[in-house]
Amino acid sequence: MNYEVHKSPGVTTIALKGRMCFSDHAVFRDIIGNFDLPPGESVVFDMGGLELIDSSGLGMLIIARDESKKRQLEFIIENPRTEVRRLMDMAKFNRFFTIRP
Amino acid sequence: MPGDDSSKIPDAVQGVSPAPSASVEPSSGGLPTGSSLYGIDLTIPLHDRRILIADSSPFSRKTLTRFLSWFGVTDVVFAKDGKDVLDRVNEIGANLILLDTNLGSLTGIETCRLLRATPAGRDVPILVQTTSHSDQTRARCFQAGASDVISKPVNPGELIARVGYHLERRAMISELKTFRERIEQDLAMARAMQLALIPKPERVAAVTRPREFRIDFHFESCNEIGGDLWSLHEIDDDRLGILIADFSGHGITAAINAFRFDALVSRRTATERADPGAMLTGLNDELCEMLPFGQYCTAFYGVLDRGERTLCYASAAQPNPFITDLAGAIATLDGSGPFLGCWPGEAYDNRKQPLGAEGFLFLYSDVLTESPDRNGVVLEERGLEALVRDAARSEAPLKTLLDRFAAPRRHPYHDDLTAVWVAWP
Repeated sequence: MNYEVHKSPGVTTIALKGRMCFSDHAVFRDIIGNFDLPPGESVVFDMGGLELIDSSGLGMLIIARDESKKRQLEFIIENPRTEVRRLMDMAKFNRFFTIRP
Repeated sequence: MPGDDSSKIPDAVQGVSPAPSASVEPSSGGLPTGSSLYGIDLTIPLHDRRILIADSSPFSRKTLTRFLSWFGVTDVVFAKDGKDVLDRVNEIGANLILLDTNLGSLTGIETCRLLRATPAGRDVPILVQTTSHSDQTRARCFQAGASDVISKPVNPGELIARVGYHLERRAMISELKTFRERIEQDLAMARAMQLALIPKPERVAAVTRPREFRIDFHFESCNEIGGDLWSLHEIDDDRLGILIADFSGHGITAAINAFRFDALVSRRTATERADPGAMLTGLNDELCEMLPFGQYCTAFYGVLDRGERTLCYASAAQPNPFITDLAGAIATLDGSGPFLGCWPGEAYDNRKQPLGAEGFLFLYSDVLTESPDRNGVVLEERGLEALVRDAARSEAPLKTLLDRFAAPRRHPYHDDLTAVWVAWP
């Protein structure tokens, strides 16, 4: 998985690309490094470039949500592709995450 | 001359180089304790290593021995020619072999090649010494399996640096090999333990026969051990509970979680076992306490009731199971639900499905829908449904299905595979 960080006032957008899998724990730790933000700001995971997510990847999203909560950030998931969205729907992520189509 | 050179540093005769500088010249046959030639640091102690020197010149043998002794190598064994090396390599058990290219009738290069074909010589570092500087000769040495080539005259610093390097490399490889063997043994035991958690065919038969169900199952891990699990729960004469679960991640972490999960499942009360929603709610609460954040499991628990002719079930993000509906058509059950172990206090609802006079329920882990074939295409639910439909018409549906699934795919799969096919008349 690769990622790019885009900053605008109050909003940090992290665009994820490729596959979010078991082997991406180190990359994911780097991504979490970008959550060092003032309370009240937003972190957006733009998942439009994410082709695939596995069970470990879904676990990373849960950790990202938890990390945001601890830092009082708003955590938003954006643009998941159909297959990724299907897996999130299976786990009823819409009840725990803000997901924008 | 050979025989009286024990205190002298040899000259560059018979292919052996002059001594190192005076400041590091050894006294009484060895370097001062803890010192090193030219500051070469030996990362491993050499005193317990045995080196076999195959060199036809007594002078060279003596000189090489002395160089080695400066660095603490005292266990040196000699062979007089290539045949002698091959005859005794097994018995000597050297940690490293120094071969001269000029070894009489059998050349050093040929000896090296033959050594590599023996069990004792296959992995041992072999350093070939040669007076030839031609690229071709040196390449032939490597082709014959030499670990390294040393030019004659041999310089003590270079000799010991190379000997040290190859001994260290060999020690690391052998340590890794030992470590790997131990891990493999541990994993094999863990795997046996994991298989012991899964219902045995005899128990499956004993539990299902009186209730007029028939169950076929398949269980395999992509690594030595994995995070899948399934179990059967007898409730009363009519009712049978079936649980299938799949932990996030692979390998040891997932397997340890599967063991802990099995312990939690065995602690469920009779009331919970009869009530799938309560079962998953209870398991979720305990898993939330137990699992590190970000680890979770997907699960499906269903109670088949022969009396009421229903399946009552609850699900936590398990792939949608297939079932025959009242009209005899293949339908999918709603497997969606929050992961177990992530959301404390989450309540899982019961869903109900009527059972036709005859039919089947097929539970499976997501590897069946997500594992790519050789063209990178995954079945997804629709593709699996087609396989299920065809398999249902065959004598042995589960075998038929898995054979057809396996044919275009590389084995082992990228994830653990559990598949349970329950049929009723």
